[in-house]
Amino acid sequence: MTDLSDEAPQFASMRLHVRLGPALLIYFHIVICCVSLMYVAEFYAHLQIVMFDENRVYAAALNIAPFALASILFTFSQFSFGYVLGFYFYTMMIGYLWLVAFSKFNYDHVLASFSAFGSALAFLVPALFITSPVKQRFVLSARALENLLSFILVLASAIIAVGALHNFRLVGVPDIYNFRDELAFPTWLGYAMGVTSNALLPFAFACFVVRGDWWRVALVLLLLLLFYPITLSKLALFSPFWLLFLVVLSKFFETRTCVVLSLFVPISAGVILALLFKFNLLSYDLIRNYFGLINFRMTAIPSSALDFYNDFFSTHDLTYFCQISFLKPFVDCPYSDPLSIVMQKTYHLGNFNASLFATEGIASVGLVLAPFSVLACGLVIAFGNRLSSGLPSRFILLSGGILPQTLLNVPLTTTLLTNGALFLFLLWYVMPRTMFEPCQSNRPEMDNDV
Amino acid sequence: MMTAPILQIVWLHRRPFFFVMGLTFLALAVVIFMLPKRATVRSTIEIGSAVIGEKQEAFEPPENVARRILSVYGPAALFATAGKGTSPSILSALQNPSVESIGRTVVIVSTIDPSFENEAKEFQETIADLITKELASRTQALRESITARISLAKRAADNLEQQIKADANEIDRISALSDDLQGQLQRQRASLGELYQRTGTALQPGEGTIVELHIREMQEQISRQMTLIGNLVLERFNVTSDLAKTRRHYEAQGRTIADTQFEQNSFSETRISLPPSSTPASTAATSRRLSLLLVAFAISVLAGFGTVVLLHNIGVSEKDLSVRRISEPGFAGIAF
Repeated sequence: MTDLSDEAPQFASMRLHVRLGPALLIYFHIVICCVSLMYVAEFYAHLQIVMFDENRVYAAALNIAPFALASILFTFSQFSFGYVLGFYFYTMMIGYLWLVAFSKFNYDHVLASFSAFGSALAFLVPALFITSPVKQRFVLSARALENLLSFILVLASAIIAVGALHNFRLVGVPDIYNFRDELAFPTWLGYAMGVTSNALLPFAFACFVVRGDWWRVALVLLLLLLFYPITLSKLALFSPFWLLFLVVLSKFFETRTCVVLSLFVPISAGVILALLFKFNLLSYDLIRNYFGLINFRMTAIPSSALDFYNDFFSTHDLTYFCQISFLKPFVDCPYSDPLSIVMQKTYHLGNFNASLFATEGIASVGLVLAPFSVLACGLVIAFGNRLSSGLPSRFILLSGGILPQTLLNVPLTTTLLTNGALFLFLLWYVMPRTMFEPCQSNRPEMDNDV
Repeated sequence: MMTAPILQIVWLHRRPFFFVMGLTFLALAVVIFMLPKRATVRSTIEIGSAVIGEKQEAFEPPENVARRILSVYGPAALFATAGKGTSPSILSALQNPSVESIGRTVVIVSTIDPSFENEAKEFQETIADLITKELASRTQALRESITARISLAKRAADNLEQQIKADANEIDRISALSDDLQGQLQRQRASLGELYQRTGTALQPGEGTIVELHIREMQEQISRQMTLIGNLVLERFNVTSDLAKTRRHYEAQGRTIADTQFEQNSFSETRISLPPSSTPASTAATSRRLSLLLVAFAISVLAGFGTVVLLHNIGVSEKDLSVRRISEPGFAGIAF
């Protein structure tokens, strides 16, 4: 944990001059998330994924209000990778606590709400407050870092070239589902693409942005974009624009504010578009793609996944972590298919992966024990915080910019290995802190913004 | 990195914190107490069910009925209510009832102004009538099918019972005939024995030929009798085996009748289990107000806390921004 126990008067006085994180902005964010979910329920009523009933708004508000108080944690904690992830999960949980009041399923909603609340706190406390540094036993030299960055670019190019041999289709987003089932990459290539696009390239991107090497920044973005015609995934198409968006935000705002704005701005834009449609100023066709991608897919789906997993596991056997491939030989597994396929067969909404709250929590140990499992996940993220300690906030935000999006929809164990979170943690650990010293030396503030 | 001391900072700004918190709570409380009173009209419909296989199952999945209330029965009931000259404001208040299915029960709740209570009850009654009418035909068909199955099974059981009686009589008849033939056979064997004895004694000329003829006839008769008795034994075995089969069929029919009668007895009609009734407005309002006051309290704490953060950051930013501008031209350091 950080330095609350320190009694030195000077240090205490310094702590009183620590800039606090955003508060009012988070309140607006909570309100805009609820409004966004109301519109999602209206525009996607036919899917019956997110529901709304104005007679139950009081129940929903009663669910949200205590959790809104937990936003105070974001104001008093300093920036870390856990802060970014914590805020994204906080938004997901706000969404769940809102939509559970209108859920069409018949599981125990009260227990599920308490479990969700407990799980969120169990994740946030370690992820926000365990940030003390780990002693660096191995540090890259400036030259080694330079070589590493060049190597990442070459490796990414090679992986893209090999990937393109297996699949390369320039199709629009609505058509990707027609070809996805045909995709078959060798296992090693699947891992390589996941690690490169989620961890290595964003890491290189952050390094080049901090150094102002804009040509290489553009090259990284191009490489990231090239993953789209290969993997036909929306995240691949979305990643370069998302990283650029984070760069622009971090240029003008303090990092913690940036994190909040990174969700608040896109969701608010979707709500404004929905309002313009309601006032007949825009047609639905014009807002459909944006609203569908941001307000529905990015924001509402991770929250509703908790609703679906709660419903499914209220009447089916728990997995006791047997969904993790290397644990399968040691645990009796009631499911032969991956959970996403099991959910597809039950609800027919596509391969429905979900975050660590749903998978490592609800599916693995059930509602009552979920907070303990999620606490363990929070400690893993806290370890990531410790490995990245001493790096500038903006660098952490940009290099880890894609992972929160992945973690909202994919279990932690999968993200650590398949999506390269462990590689990123390792790179943070060996990253030379001296590279940023000129920027930090004049900073009296206790946080580590660049 | 460092965590800010929460309590110390809030204590430093305690006055604005409590002022803003108190003011926000007061303002929200006034709004909450000025909100119009709402009444809740609730009714429950038990969907008809019967034992299908080994399970008691509803004729129509209650979730489907709940969905159809929102999309079909509700609008139809609203249309019927509108036809009676009900004002548009009442129709608008009635148009979005909350509907959920719990087990085989569908619950309809309308939250409305207390003055619209009667219209809401009428609206829910219309919905319930529409549902019971639609499910009635299915119920009737199922009921008729059960009655027909029972009657068919009873008729089959009666036939089998008659068959059992006939088989039993046949066995008795064969047994009697067989006993009679056995008696005759014994007598014929005795006569044959006597004839053999006569052949051993001195016979008159020509008498030996007649005795031998008698012996041959007797032997043929005995042989025929034995064949007849053998056939009768076979016949009795077949009839006994048929009787056993018929008894098994009879028992199976008995079980079918019992099962179908159980189905008939466990058959339930679609009915209104709780007629539209209103929760007293005062109770509902009190519970709603309490929840809203809790929400208002949370909002007030957040408002007070937001003020503290704002004041604290303004205080810090004066020193902080000046240093940042020196070290990082272009960094604005904006935080809300």
